[in-house]
Amino acid sequence: MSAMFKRFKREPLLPILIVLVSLCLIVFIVFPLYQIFKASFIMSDGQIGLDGYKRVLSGGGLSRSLTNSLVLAAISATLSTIIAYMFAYTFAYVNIPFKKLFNAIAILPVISPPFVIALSAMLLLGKQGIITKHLLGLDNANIYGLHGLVLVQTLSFFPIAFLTLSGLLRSISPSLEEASQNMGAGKWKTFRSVTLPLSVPGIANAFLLVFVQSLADFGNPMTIGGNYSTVAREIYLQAVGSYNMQAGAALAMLLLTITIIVYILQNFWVGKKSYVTVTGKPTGQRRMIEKGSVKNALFIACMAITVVVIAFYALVPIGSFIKLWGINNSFTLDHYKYVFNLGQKAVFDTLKLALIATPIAGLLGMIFAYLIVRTHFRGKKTLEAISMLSIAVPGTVIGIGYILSFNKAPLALTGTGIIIVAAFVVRALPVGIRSGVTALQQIDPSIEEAATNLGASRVKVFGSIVLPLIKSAFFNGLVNSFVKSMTAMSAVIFLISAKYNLITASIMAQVENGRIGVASAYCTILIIIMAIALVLLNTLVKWLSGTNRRTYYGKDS
Amino acid sequence: MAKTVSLKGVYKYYDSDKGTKSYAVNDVNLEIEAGKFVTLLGPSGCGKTTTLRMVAGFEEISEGDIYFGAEKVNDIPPNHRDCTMVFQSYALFPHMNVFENIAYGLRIKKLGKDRIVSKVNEVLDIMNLREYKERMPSQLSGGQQQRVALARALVMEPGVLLFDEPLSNLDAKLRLTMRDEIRRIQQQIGITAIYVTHDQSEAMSMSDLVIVMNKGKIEQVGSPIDIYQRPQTRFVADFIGTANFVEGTVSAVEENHIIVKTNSGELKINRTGFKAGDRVTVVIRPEAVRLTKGESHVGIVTKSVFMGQIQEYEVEYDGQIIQISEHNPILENTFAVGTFVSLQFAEQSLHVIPTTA
Repeated sequence: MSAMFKRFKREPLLPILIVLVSLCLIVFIVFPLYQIFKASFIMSDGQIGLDGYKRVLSGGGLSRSLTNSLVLAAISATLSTIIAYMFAYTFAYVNIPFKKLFNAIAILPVISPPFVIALSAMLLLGKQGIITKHLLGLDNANIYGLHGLVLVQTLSFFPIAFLTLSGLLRSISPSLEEASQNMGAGKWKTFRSVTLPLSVPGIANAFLLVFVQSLADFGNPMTIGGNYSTVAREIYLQAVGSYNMQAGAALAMLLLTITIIVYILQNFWVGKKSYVTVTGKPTGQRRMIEKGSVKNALFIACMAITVVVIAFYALVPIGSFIKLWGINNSFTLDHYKYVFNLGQKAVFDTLKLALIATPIAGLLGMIFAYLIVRTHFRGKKTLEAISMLSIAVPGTVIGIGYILSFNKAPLALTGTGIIIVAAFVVRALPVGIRSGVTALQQIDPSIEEAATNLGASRVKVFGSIVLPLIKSAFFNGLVNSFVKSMTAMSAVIFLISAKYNLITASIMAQVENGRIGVASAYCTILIIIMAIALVLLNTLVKWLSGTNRRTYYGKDS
Repeated sequence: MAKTVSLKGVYKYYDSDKGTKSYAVNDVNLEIEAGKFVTLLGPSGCGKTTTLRMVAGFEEISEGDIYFGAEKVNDIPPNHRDCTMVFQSYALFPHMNVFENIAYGLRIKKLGKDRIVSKVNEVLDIMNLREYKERMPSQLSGGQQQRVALARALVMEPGVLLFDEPLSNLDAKLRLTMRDEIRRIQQQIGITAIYVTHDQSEAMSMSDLVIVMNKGKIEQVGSPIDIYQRPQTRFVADFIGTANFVEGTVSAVEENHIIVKTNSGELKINRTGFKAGDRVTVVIRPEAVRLTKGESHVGIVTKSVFMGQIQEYEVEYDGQIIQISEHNPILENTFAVGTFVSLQFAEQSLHVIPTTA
């Protein structure tokens, strides 16, 4: 006991930080999830019972939403993984022009607002769509439903799979394939017997990642789902639409269970199966496929997808200037006037709350990462597990958890900005922690010990050594938090109020009312704000890293 | 000011799952005089680095006390202890240039700008680093990084200087130069230095005192000559250099030597402190044996390798393989595998340890 007290006296900051951080996790993640768990067992008359689960599993609309979600996720994940593998393979193995363009296209959907692709799908393939009505002359084209969702989700989520797979393919040592060819295998045989088997864990990983994303997806099913109801949407409709908290909570529990199982599968089963090991030994450059039908086929396929993605993105800004898409195609600024008059508040609220949440999430992520990697304390493993599992919690689950937890004393936060900021932070935190942990693990701990040894206190070590060295991870965390907050929807849709409205919620309302032009204008403005913010943040990073290097003392002599 | 360092009954243990304790450092007692160069030597996992890290304050002491001079440092946090350390990986701050790396500790002491500049320049001169002061660590060679790490520790003028296997990342030639340089600077400044290594030639060439450790315990403390010529345990004899062990019994004790009876005859050895009947192990260094064309003590050569300075043999002798090295080998006089040879032992160079040790 006295030893603990001595340590506390020596380093009072550390235990305080640990308590603070744990408190954050408990209040904003564990407590809401517990509230959902509790609510799923409490019937409308206050009794404890299984009615919620009975309703969900009895075969009605709610059961259908569950199977619908699983079917949709399986199809989207399969298609996304196939496209992503093709893209990633082309990147790593084939010498083609426009690689930079393809790369940008593949990454674009990661940072874009959730509605863009769904909106342009309507503009292209809807009842008044360019392709469906004007090119094909169909009068009653219907984009709403499973096929629309599959299209939109595949285009939105294949980049996630692409990022996983391209990293994996690049890390396969070329010497393995050379060994195969050296023993007489042709290119096709080498691909089938070496490259493909080696990438199986990565493929499984990519599939599961997209699977979870699709399950948790809220924006697309809301806009383009039509009669095809999915779990995330149904949770919202039960909780907010028909005030049936018990059914909503039960559904949320089921969704959460599925996503956590998939997450665990992905991390502990697939993760362990990875054959690719990183050795320090430099391996030779891979010899690229320079010509032939394989190259041409892959190039055309990548080009086609790229054109489709560009078309989808270009359409939204165009649509924002058109009076009534497909019916009255004249140019207008009315939609923007509408946004500037009635939607101004949503734009400024979103920006304000995102700007508050960004530094909090960024700094908290780094502190978390530091505690996980560099300190030892009782309960650290639990803290780490909770912070990592929170990646697997779908936004709608967080949303329903927050309205259950924070609408009464002692934490009556419903309707305040605090609760929205908290949701932003919680949603952005896991990625920040991850990048912080990765960055810290690459730093030799003796660098920090050297600073301590030279007299620096822990705070000084963190400020003068750790933070500068994980700077890029820190700023990546900031960018990620900002992007995530600006485009957040699934969690915060539960939390908006007359006092605080958000752009994403406004877009959804416009889509629901059929005002595609106004929705497109909102989307365009959101994209412009994010682009400006990213450029500013980038400049800030460059400016900071240019001046904070203290070289001026060494210059005289 | 160079300080003495004392370790009194120092333990480091971890509680294992079964409720037992596993000892990393087990009852270490040491008195290190001010200004001496002391080496902790031992195989990996022997507790030498843990001991050093307890002195630096990076590891909590489970039991026992550590003193710098008269001051007990157990409860002084690592950033307030009067010692600086040179790390195995150098641990230079990658985002600061050479000057800033060296100035880091002085800035924390809040010295004035002019003092900092003059002190850093002084140590840059000692280490021949002046022209590199604006370079970033990534632009330096391994040897230069090593010198920056040493400069950064020296500039603090600590009471004790600690080294954690600082040369293990350098190539063989550079290692020889650096160890001379470290020794020269340590003597020039007259600082107390504790140096951890698993490399016996480093320990032998640099130290005033060598502390051989094994399994968390001190095996022997002594000068380099002591631990090589008069090892107290079989472990020390085996770890320092190469040793052949021949079991025997003391058959007679004379004034300044003893006679040890082995399976293959009697050996006269210049050692005292044993009585007749004691079971002993004779330590025979490879260079203490001379080979001649076989007469008495006959063995058969099973390996013969030319190594440049020496010829290495393995000879099967009385059912045991004895390693032998001959200096300045002359090709015509070497023995080929299969040759019968006789062994002559240089009695001045033989050593005896009790068999239990």
